[in-house]
Amino acid sequence: MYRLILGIFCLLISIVTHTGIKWELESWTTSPLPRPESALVLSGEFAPLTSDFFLVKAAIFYNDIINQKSSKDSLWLSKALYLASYLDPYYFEVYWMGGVVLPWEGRFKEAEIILKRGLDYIPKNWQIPFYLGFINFYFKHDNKTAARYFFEASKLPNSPPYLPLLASRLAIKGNETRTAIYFLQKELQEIKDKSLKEKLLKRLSALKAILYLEEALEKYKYKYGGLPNQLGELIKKQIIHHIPSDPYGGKFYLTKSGRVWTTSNLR
Amino acid sequence: MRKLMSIARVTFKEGIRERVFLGVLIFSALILLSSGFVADLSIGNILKVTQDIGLSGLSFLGLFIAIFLSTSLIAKDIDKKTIYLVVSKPIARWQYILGKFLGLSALTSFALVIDFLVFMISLFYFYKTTTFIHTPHIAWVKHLLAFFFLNIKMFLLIAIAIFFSSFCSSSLISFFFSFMIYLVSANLQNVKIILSSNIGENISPNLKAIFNIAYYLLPNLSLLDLKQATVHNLPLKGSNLMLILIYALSYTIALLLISSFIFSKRELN
Amino acid sequence: MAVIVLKEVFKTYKKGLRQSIEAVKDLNFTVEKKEIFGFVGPNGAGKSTTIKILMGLLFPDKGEARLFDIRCDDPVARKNVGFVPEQPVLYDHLTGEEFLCFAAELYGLSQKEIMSKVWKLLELVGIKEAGKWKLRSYSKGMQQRLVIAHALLADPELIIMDEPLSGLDPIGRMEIINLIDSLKKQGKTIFFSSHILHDVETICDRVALLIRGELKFIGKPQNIEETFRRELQKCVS
Repeated sequence: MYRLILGIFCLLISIVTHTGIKWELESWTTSPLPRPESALVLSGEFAPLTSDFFLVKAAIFYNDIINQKSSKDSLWLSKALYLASYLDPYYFEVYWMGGVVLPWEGRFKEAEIILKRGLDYIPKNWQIPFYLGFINFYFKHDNKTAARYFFEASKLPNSPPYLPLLASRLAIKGNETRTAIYFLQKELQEIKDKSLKEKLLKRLSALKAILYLEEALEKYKYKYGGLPNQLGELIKKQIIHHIPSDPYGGKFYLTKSGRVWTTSNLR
Repeated sequence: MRKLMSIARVTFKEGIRERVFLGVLIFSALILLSSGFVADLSIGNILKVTQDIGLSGLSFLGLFIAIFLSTSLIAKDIDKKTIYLVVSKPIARWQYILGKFLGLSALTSFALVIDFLVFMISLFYFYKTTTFIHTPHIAWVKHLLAFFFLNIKMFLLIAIAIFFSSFCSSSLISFFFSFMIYLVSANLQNVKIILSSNIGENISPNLKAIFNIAYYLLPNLSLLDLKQATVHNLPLKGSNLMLILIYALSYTIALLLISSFIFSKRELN
Repeated sequence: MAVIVLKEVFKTYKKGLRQSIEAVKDLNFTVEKKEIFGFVGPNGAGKSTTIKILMGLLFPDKGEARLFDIRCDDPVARKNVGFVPEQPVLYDHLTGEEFLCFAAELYGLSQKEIMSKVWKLLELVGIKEAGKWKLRSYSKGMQQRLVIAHALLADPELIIMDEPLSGLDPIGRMEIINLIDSLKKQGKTIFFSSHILHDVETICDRVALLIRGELKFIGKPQNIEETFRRELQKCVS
């Protein structure tokens, strides 16, 4: 009997001490990732399930570090998504996350690598070449390659009817911000996840503010034959009444090349 | 034939009455039943994850019975000497081997059928009760095909377990070798892909040659794994599937023939 | 015709990489039809090894072992043989009835024959009421009786028993001896081993003495005692 009491007492001690222990190791979400080839061999026939696991890990990580992202964090995210795509190359949601999230974290090159894999394995999905087109258009400013991808996407089943129009608009140097807004509005219709939806709405709001300012600049240019030195002049000349606020907390300004940008970098 | 069926029946009964077997069967059924709930917690394509959990659960159950239970039941027969009362009858040693194979295959298929039904019901329920933005397509026929090939894969694994049990002195050694063969064989296709990629350029030609021998000598279990094709509804060629079936069955028969030869020379002391 | 023939049989066991033990050396004898043949010797003499060779569980290194003039490694040789091993272990998940049905099917008996024989044999060996019980609940004596019943299923001409009397109480021993006697009266040939001389002296027609794998005596049981004592003395010294 006394052994039972002693055993229960020791168990209580262990439970109490457990509550006080601090997990001092690095966050599990940025733990080292295995090499894709090793992970594939170790997972064996359970590779698709392992892919599900790494996608979940990547998504939770992205949600957790929403406001405090570092370069190391976004690199981890891109590696996790690449790993997931390596383990199950037919898993569309991995390419979707790669196309929708990674480029905005400054990892558009990594996103391209992942999406190009998707082109080989899911050739009939219009969204993959679409994301590649968008990356080339918005981030790499390579309209020629972007137009090629958008045309490719437009030929695939279930692709939206505006794609050929979009592609042809890019053949001429087009309005980048308007295109980005089109893209985000379409994506918002597809997303179910609340937190991701909030992030994209925030971005959409920022882009609409940029578009508002770009349209104001166009009006100024038309009236005065050139661009102002700073955005404040748009208010002085009564083209606009106020400069909209940046939902990311930054301040909008005019770059040397005449683009509207923000001190927050939209992050 | 009656003698074979008799040994098979006794083996089946022995397996069914094993508490470990029942425990694993019930546990895996619970996992399959809850696969939709688990998938709901994840981010991504819920139905894809549900199917991944379900098909992986079935594979795992089959693996446990085919390798662990097979090696332990045969080794138990030899260790406890219950085999004396069988082999001392007017039956050939090959009849014992084949009877054991039939019994273990029936046991594995029985467990897999139960869990497969549980999984299909669970999947159907989640398919009908979940709201999707775009209703995904489930390849129900491919699920049946994947299940059929899963059974064939388990028969091959049982033959591997019997092969090692025919000459190994303990169940632990048989289990270890059978499991190692499974691990290597399940990855043959993956390793081949890696070797043919740019990583393979750094691998020595001798190692590649050894791998090529292993690739053709060992059973390529990944050919019998239709999980990805089922979940992603990838195209499957009938002629290719037929070849895979012939490959698996001929390999299984070869193993059983070699096992009966080895076992016929084995002394039971 | 001799029912059992052993001709220049040798059997060696390997013990590790270099050592080996000669379990049976140059064994030569026959067992005739309808006789009770006793095979006696101390523990480790090679009696069980010889019986396992006869039942096809082991293979001789040299020489020949035959049952009904068929090589022992041929399953057909065992068609007319009932075997009672030493300390038998049964499939404890089966009932007594299931076990006998299983053994009968392995003998190739028809369903009709099985139905008529199983319960009769259970009654003959005195465990009819335990026929539906699982074997794990059987006592040692009950298991022994069941194994004897299973050996009689195919109405064999030859019954081979390895130490059938060991571990039994005096009543059990008497019952087995009476059973052996009744089987002899039915015209069956019985070959059994024992390490107790008295067991073979009382019931056997002929006996053989095996000491360290070698045959030291074969003949009438009345003449064995002196040889038995002399050889045992050699073993002890």
